[in-house]
Amino acid sequence: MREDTAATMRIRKNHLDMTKDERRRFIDAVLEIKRRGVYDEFVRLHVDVNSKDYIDKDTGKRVGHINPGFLPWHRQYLLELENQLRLVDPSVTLPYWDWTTDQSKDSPLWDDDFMGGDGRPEDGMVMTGPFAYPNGWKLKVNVQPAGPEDPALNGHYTVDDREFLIRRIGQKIPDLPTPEQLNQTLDLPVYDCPPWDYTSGGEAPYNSFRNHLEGYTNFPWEPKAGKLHGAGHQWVGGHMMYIASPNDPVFFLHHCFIDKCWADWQARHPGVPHYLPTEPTPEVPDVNTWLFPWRTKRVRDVIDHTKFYKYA
Amino acid sequence: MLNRREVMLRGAALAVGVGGVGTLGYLKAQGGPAVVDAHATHSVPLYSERYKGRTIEVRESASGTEVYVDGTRLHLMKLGENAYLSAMCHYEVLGSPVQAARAAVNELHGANLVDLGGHGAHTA
Repeated sequence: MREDTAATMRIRKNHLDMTKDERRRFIDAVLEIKRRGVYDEFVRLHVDVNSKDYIDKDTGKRVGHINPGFLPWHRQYLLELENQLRLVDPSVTLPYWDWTTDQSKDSPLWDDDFMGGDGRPEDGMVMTGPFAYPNGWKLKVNVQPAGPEDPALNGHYTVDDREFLIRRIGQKIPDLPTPEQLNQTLDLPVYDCPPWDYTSGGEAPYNSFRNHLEGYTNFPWEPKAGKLHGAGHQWVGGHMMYIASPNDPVFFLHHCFIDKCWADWQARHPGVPHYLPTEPTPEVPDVNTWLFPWRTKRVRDVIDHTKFYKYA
Repeated sequence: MLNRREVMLRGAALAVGVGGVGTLGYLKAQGGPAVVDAHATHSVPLYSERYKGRTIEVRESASGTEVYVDGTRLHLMKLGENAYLSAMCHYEVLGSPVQAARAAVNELHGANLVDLGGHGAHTA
């Protein structure tokens, strides 16, 4: 994969700061990789990586979710998608959605020329914008098994027989996270801690920035519910709640913001390891673990995002 | 965790599983004509209920607890005791396989889970 030099450094920005032309180019590139079948392979990969049996067959490590690899794995996942978009249009970069401040259903995020709007009441079908079924955005529902993975998900691009994108904005949870909620998590000084899973950092001194950002644990003063990353998925609802959440392109704007949160956290805590564990740990990706399925980068290769892009 | 009705249903689950429409999709997916044999070797029914017009079935197999909606397996990921994610509720931890299946039924609005991949899954 070609890495950009400084001269062509990618700048990722808040979608609110994109020009009309930049918005159009981004959407056009997404539609083109969907037409090429590339987009759906990213959906399938996300399903595979979430599957119970999808562990690296050489090392036995799980990387995608509910472990320290959550942030580096998604960093490369987004980079790979951005690379594909830039094969279509070299000016395109991923925008991000800062849901701590950009919380309205009337945000330009949901305009007809960008992500489109909420689903209709009866079945959640998105009816407006480029990703509306009536406008041609069709999910791939057929199963194309490959390899020995768990047959309940193997070869899946979605988990049910609906071909249309579903959103139920604000129905599962009414509110998006506040700046203060995010700030409390960004203040945590330790990247992650044993047992490196959905329980990490659940008790004082809350030594898992990763798990609090991923949203599978809470501070005692918070309601027991998915927060930050998890809350973004649940607030949009529909496909964003499912294992095949990348079927909704807003997934990538949401995760771009999560990726920025990791970068912001590093800047806030310059003196601590920006990834843990640093030592080989059974079933847990450490800094030297290759990110699969690509195997082109190790965790340590993606800790510093500025080699690849910058956030405006 | 099971209430009295659910416990009583456990006893009836085998009959529901073998005779009802609930597991046909799964059994067909195994490709074998010997329906009862497939049951006996692959999983043991523990519990069945009707929820919003859908049949939810919990089964025990060699690989752990499985849950089915109208005969198609819902992918379940056990994180720990009383902590599950499913393919349709992936960003919030649920307390049991039945809770995961009910959440999936709520999301499905009448749609069907995609059938199992592999092993001749698409026999009509």
